[in-house]
Amino acid sequence: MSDKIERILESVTKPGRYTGGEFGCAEHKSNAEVRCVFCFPDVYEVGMSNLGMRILTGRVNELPCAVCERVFTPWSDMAQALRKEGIPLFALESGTPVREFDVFFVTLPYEMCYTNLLETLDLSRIPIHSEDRAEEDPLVIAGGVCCFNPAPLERFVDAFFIGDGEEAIAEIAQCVRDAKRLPRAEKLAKLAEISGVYVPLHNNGRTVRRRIITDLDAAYFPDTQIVPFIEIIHDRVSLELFRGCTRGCRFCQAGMLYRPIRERSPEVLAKQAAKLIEATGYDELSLSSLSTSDYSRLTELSEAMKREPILERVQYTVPSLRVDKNLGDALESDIRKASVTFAPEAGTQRLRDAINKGVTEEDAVYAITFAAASGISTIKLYAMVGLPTETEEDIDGLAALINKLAYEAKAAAKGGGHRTPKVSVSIAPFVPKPFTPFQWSAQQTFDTLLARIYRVKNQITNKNVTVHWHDPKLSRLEAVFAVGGREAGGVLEAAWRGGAVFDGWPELWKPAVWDEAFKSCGLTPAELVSNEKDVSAALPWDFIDAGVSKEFLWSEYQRAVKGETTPDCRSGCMMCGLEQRKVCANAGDC
Amino acid sequence: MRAIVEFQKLDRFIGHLDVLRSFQRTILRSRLPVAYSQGFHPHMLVSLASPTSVGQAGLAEYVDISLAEFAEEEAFLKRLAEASPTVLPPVRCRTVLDSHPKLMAMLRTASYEIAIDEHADEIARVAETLWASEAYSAVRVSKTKTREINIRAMIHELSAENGKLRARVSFTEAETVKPDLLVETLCKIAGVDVPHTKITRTGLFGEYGGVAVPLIDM
Repeated sequence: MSDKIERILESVTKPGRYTGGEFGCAEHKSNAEVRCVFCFPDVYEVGMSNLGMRILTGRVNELPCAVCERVFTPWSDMAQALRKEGIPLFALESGTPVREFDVFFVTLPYEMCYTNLLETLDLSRIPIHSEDRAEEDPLVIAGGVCCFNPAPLERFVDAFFIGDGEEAIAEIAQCVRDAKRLPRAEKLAKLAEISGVYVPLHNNGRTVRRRIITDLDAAYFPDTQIVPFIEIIHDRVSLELFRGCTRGCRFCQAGMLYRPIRERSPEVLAKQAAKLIEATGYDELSLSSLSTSDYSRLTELSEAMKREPILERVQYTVPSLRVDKNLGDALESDIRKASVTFAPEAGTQRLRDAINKGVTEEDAVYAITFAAASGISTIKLYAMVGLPTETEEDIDGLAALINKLAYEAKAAAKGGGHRTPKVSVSIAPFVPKPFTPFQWSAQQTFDTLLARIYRVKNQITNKNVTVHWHDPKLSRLEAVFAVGGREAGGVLEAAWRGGAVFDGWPELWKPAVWDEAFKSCGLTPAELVSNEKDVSAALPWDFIDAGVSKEFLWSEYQRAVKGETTPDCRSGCMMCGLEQRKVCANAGDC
Repeated sequence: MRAIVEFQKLDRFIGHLDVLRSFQRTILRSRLPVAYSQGFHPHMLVSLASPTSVGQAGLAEYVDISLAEFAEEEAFLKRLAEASPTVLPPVRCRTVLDSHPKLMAMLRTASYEIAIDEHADEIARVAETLWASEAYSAVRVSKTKTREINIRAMIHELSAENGKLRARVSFTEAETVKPDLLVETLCKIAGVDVPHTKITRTGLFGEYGGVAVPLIDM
C-alpha cells in the first residue's frame, strides 16, 4: 500500500473498510489470464454480508485462469480524500486500481444503490457511460435482481446478466479470456451469446431468458468465506436453505423471480455448515432463504446438523422468521429466539386477500401469543401502505390490528411469566416491481403515502409499540428505478452529478438534489410511477423471459382486484409459466 | 497452562478489539485446546498484553491464551500460524504455568520506531540534547486530567537516524509516555511544527535485574 493511501486511511472513518488482508481472501494469482473485480455498490460492512457476492467471487476464484478481487463503494470521507489526492479507487486484495481489471462485475440487489454504482465507476476513473469506455477499460457487467429491468442503467452498464449466476459467471470469465485479443465491441458480442446475458449494444430485440439452476445440491457453494477484521452487518456463516418461494404474495418480486422453489438437502447443508464453521472459526450460523420456516425438512436438517461434532458450539440465527403455524416447530428447534418477525403486511382480511398474503388475523394472534408466551423479547411487525386497492378502512384496520397484537402479546407474556415484549412496527410504502402482478399498478403519491403512514401511527395507542417508517420520498425513487425506463437513467445521472450518493443512508440522503435532478430532466416521479398501466402497455422489461408468464401475472392482478386468493403452489400447480421450463418439481401437467 | 504468543500486527489500521476477535476466530480455526471461562456464557480465555492504537503497527505484540490441555510449543505455533490471517502472523510461542504472572502486570516499557516526515535533522539534534539532560517537564493530557511529568525520567533509550526516532519509554499504569507526546516534546524543544509520523511499536518489555527483557522471556 502506498504512503499516500496510508495517509488517507489515517483520517477516514473505519479504515478497515479499505485495507483487505482478511483471512480467506483470494490469493494473488500472477498467472491469471482474466482479472476480475467484483463490486458491491454499498459500504464494506453491507457488501461483505451478502451471500451472493461470496458465492460468485468464490466461483470465479475457483477457475485456474481467473482471479476475482473485491471493491465496495467508499464512504463520502474516503471518496473525497481519493479525489483530492488524485488516487484512483483500488481493489482490496492486491491494491490494483480497479480500472486495470478486465471485468468489473457489479451486483445490483436494490435500486437505492444505483448512485453508488456511478460513484464507484467514477472513483475508479472508468467512464460512467458505456459508449465512452476505451478498449482498455474493464467490461462493466451487472447482475442481481435489479437487472430484470435494465432500462434505467443501459447507458452505464455494458452487459447485464439475468438469473442465477453461479454457472454463468464462470462462463463469462472464460468468454472474456477467449476474447481477450478482440476489440471491445466484439468481446461484448461474444458475451451476448451466453444464455442469460443481455448486451444493450448487441441485442436487436432478442428475448433474454433468465438462467435457472435446477439442482442446488449440485451447484457451486463456497467451502470457506472471508472473515473480516471489522464487524460487518451479518458477521456469521450463512447457508442458503433454498431458493424461491411458493406463497405467491402479489407484491413480492423475489417470490416471483426466484421461482421455482429449489431446496438443498439436509445432508448437503449440514456438510456445508461443518466445512464453513471449520474453515472460518465463526460460532454463529445463519439459515437464510426467503422464508426459512417454509423449508420442508427442518427437523431432518436439525438432526443432520447434530451429527456434525463441530457444530456443537454453534448458535443458529434465522434472518426473517416468518411467523405462522410453523412457528412452534421453529421455536422448539435450536434457533436463537431473541426476536421474531411477523409480516401481516395489511390490516384487513380483504386487503390481505388482495395481495395474496395468506395469513388471517387468527394466525397473527396465534403466532404473536405463542411467541410472547415463550419469552420472546422483541416482536417485529412489517406492514405496507399504498397497496393496490387499499382504502382508508384498510389503514384503520392496520392500526387496529397492531394495537390488538400488542395487547395480546402483553397478556400472553404475563401469562407465561415473562416481561412484556417490545413490539416494533415497520411501515413501508408499496413499491411496484417488475415481474410481479402489481407491475401494472400505480404507486400512491408522496402526500397520500405520508398521510397514510401518519393515519396508522396516530391510531397506535399501545405504549409498547414503536413505529418506524420508510421515507415515502425514497420509496417514490425506488419505484422510479424499479419500473422506469431509460429516462430514469438521465435522472440518476443528474442526481449523482449533483452529489447524490448512498441514498439509502439517512445521513447522506439528499432529497433536494433529487428534486433538482428531476427538474433538470423535465420529469416528475408522478409521471413515471403514478399511472396505472394497461395490460396492452409495453413494459421496458418485456424482452426478458423471467419464467413467470405475463398472462399469469395479469390474471393474478385481476384476481387481486376482485379480492380472490391464489393458494400456495405446493398444494397444486398454478401454471405460473415455470412449468413450461420443466424446472419446477411442483409443476402440474401442461 | 497458558501459551504466550508473540505476533506481528502488520496492518496498522486494525483496532485492538478487532485483533482480539481475530485471535478468537484463529484459535477456533486452529482447533487448538483453548480454555473457556466458567458460567452461563463461557468465553474463550484470550487476552492481549497491551492494545496498540489504530494507526500503529506492532512488530512484537503478545497474546495470552489459556489452554485446556498440554500443548507443545512448536506444534502449537505451527497450527496457530496456519490458521492466522497474513497480516497478524504469530512468530514465537512459549508455554507457561497458570501461576505465571499476567503479561500486563509485568509490563514496564515499550519501544517504538517513529518515522518522521519533516524536520528530521532538528528533531534528531534535540533528541540527543534531551537524552543528555537530567530532567525535562512535559504536560500529559488525559481524558480526565492534565498533569506535568518529568518526561526524561520515563525515557530509557532514545536515538535518531535516517529520519527515524527509536525510543524505549515507560509503559505502566502510573508512568506512560505515548510516542506522540515524545514527538511533541521534541518538536517543542526544537521549535518546529509537529510533523506527520508513522509509529511502529517494536517491543514490550518487563524488567529483570535492571535490564529490559521482552515480555515473552520474563
